[in-house]
Amino acid sequence: MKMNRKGHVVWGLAILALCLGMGGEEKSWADEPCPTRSIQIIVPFPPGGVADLVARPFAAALEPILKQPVVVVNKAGAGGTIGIQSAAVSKPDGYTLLLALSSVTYLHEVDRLFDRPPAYTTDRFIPLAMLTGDPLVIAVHQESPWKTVDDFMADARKRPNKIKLGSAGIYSVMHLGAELFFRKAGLQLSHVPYTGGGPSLNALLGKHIDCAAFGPNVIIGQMKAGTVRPLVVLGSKRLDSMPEVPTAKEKGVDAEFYIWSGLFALKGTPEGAIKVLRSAVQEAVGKPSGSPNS
Amino acid sequence: MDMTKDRWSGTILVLLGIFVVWERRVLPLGTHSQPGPGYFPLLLALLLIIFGGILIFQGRSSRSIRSISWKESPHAVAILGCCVFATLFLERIGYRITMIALLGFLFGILERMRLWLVLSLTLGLALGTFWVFDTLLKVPLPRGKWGF
Amino acid sequence: MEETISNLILGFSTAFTPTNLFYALAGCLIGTMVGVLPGVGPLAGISILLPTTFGLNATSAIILLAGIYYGAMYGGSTTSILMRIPGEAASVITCMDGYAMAQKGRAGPALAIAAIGSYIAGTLSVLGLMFLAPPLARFALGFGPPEYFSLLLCGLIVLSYMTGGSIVKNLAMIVLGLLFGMIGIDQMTGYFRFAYGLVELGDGIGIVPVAVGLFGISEILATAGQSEKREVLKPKLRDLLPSKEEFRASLFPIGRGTLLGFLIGIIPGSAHIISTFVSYAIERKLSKHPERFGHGAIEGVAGPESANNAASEGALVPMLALGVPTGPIPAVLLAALMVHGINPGPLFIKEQPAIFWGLIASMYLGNLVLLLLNLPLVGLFVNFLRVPYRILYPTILMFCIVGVYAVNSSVVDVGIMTIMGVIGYLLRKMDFETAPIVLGVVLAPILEFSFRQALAMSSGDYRVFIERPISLAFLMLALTMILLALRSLIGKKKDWRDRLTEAERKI
Repeated sequence: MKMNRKGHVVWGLAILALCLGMGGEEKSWADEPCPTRSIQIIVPFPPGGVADLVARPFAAALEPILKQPVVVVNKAGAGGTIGIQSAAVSKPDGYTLLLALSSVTYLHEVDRLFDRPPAYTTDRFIPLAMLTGDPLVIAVHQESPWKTVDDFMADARKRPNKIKLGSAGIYSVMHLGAELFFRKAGLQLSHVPYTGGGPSLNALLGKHIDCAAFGPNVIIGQMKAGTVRPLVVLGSKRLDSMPEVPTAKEKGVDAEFYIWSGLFALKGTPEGAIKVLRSAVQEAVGKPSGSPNS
Repeated sequence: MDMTKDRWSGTILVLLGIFVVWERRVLPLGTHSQPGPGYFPLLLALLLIIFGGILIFQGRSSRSIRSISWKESPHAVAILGCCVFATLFLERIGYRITMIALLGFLFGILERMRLWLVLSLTLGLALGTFWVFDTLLKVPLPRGKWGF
Repeated sequence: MEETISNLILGFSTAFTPTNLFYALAGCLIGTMVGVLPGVGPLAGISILLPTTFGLNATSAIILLAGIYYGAMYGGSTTSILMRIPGEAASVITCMDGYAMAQKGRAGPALAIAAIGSYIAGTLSVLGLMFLAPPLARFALGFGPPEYFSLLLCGLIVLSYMTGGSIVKNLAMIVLGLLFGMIGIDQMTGYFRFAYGLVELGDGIGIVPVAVGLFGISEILATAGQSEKREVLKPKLRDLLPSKEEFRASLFPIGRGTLLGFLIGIIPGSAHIISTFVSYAIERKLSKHPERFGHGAIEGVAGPESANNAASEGALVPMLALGVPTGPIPAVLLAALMVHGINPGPLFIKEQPAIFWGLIASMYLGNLVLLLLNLPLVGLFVNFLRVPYRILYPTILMFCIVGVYAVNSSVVDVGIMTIMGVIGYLLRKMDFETAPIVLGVVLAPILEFSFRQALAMSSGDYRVFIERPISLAFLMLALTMILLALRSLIGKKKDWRDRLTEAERKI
């Protein structure tokens, strides 16, 4: 079999490729307890909401510690279920993490309510850290006629089912928190679900909805710019960032609802990886840049 | 009623529409203010049936079904077989071995090229792309049971 | 205005770093190669290379992807002119006069004018983008769920009217794409739809496997077995530049093509290919010697090529200003942006001006690099085409498989790609267009969600779509399109679309 010059070149390249191809070994977390490629954090909501606002600075803080890129991936829908389910079925190799909100504890129960198999089970996740925890704040547009929560409640009583409430989806934290307040106050609103706090904020600014219950860090910026007016805090005491906003209890409505965000790894992730991640997370949270709100 | 291309495709669309209507019976339709997950699929399936119906009625003017040339179909089926093979075995035996098998089949058996060309291209491409993606770009590609 | 300029300067300083220049170069290079290879269009190219950008920072990643986008648009023209094979759908028109010019030995000028025209169109479009995006964004805050629904519906109908082929078939394909898009967990209520137990389908079937399968794989399946040899012409480097007369003749077509393309591109749902057809038709109508068209009239290359590039840029306006992708390629670019933490939308321009203007500047950069790159490298690219197809297609197949797998590390995606490949192959045989399917898959979630939100807002009152002015406007437009289409359906006369479709088939 005669080989011309072209043949030699091709063979040479092939052998080179062979050697290079053989070279790459699987570095499992067990052997080398440091991540060797980029890590992705799944956020089950679109950009702009609590989960996303927590995830991005956190990812940036985590990068120099783990020495690998940490990428935030948004997979929104169904009040967070889509992203959580996507995380639940991914490979437990330590390179996929989930940043979920309080809704992760109960969204699978919603499935049971409707007689369908749960989208995920909580035992699929190993909690790594709770990152933030704040009470919800119900807010309206600056130009709306309700100056205080009393005005709002009076108006809602007069026109049941007419005031539009936005949320991150049916059974999301934003939805349940707001509904709790309204039920306890004896009010009925019309619910327009969105896919997250970010789109809900957009909708509020565009006046497509009248109110929504946000995590405080989502609306702080708009509040300072004077476009959004917080009415009531669903917490045990007033927030430092908005001291003039009363709590629901002060107004006689016994409603408290908190939105917390937590980082989770998948069950089945090697022990070594979990150790590395936990210590990295602790170090990242310790850094001053990651503080959310009050 | 002679079968033209459009009539065939129209029929398939109608059948598809009926299939979707049947399959979505588990999804609730919901109310007017809260359309359920079955609402839109039902709507679309009905549209599909309507469009299929229009195609069947209008189908006389299009070309006959026999005018389709299936000349390249044996080749296409072989290539398809490669894709199916890749889908099933990519994670079981690893990227490199799958690709070597796939490319070797395509170059060597399907295209019947000279041996040295087949070997060099197959090994070069399979291992080279693995190196580019996995090692260089850090995008993990599957390794088989033996870790290769 | 002051603010715009200072922002632009900010953007340029972000974009014009040596690293980013390198990425722009790399992107344009890869993009041109992708565009030159028949069967792998810019969509597949961007999708396949999207995972590789995960490790880069946002601006660099977008510069790379945008470079691929423009490069692919241009690369498609290269094969159209040299081999009469449209590298991608929108280059079909260029095959006509471009190839004729090549046969007369004027391949160089044809390629050059395509590059120059695209550059001018691209730059002007970026300017248009700069000035139109902020007002559009402000206008866009008024877009609530009913408006989005009507907008997208109108876009889909306009698309099915404007794309070649019968309207009924296109509508059917859109419906099919919409149905595919509903596979997965329902965004509103959480029900798992049409997934048959495959949990990986929870977040839907994904644009990349669908697009690569429908276009890349189906193309390979259809063309691999054919034994016809493809002729390749090598242009002489000496004759690379157009003569003075050719330049003069091309000036106005470039201008008209740019304006036309940009406007058509802005309309959500419009495919770039329309702009090329319309530009060709207009140039032909306006020319003093219409009989030259089809035999090597440079206006027939200058106009459509500029229109194509302008339309590509115009299509990014709604994506950046509204966060709504108007086609599969803006959708993938949107996904790329979101992966890197950039959320295009009405508040985007106000809140993150540095990134927005960085994007604009990087688009300008991409255009410039493309021009500087492609003129000298034409000869090199043509050699690429001399690789026999027998070697080329298994390589392309491999890249498709790797690329699709790499997006989500999931073989399910490869399976979807395969199934879509078969569907695409069969659809081609039955004379159906496959592009509307991709659009359907992309737009299904937003369309359905907006619809249900709108009804939630109005508590079940369907009149909400008609009561709001913007929504009403879009629905009227959609209705007009349907009526226009019905007229040609009832009347036996062939309208301009059928004539163009026939022209396409003859190529």
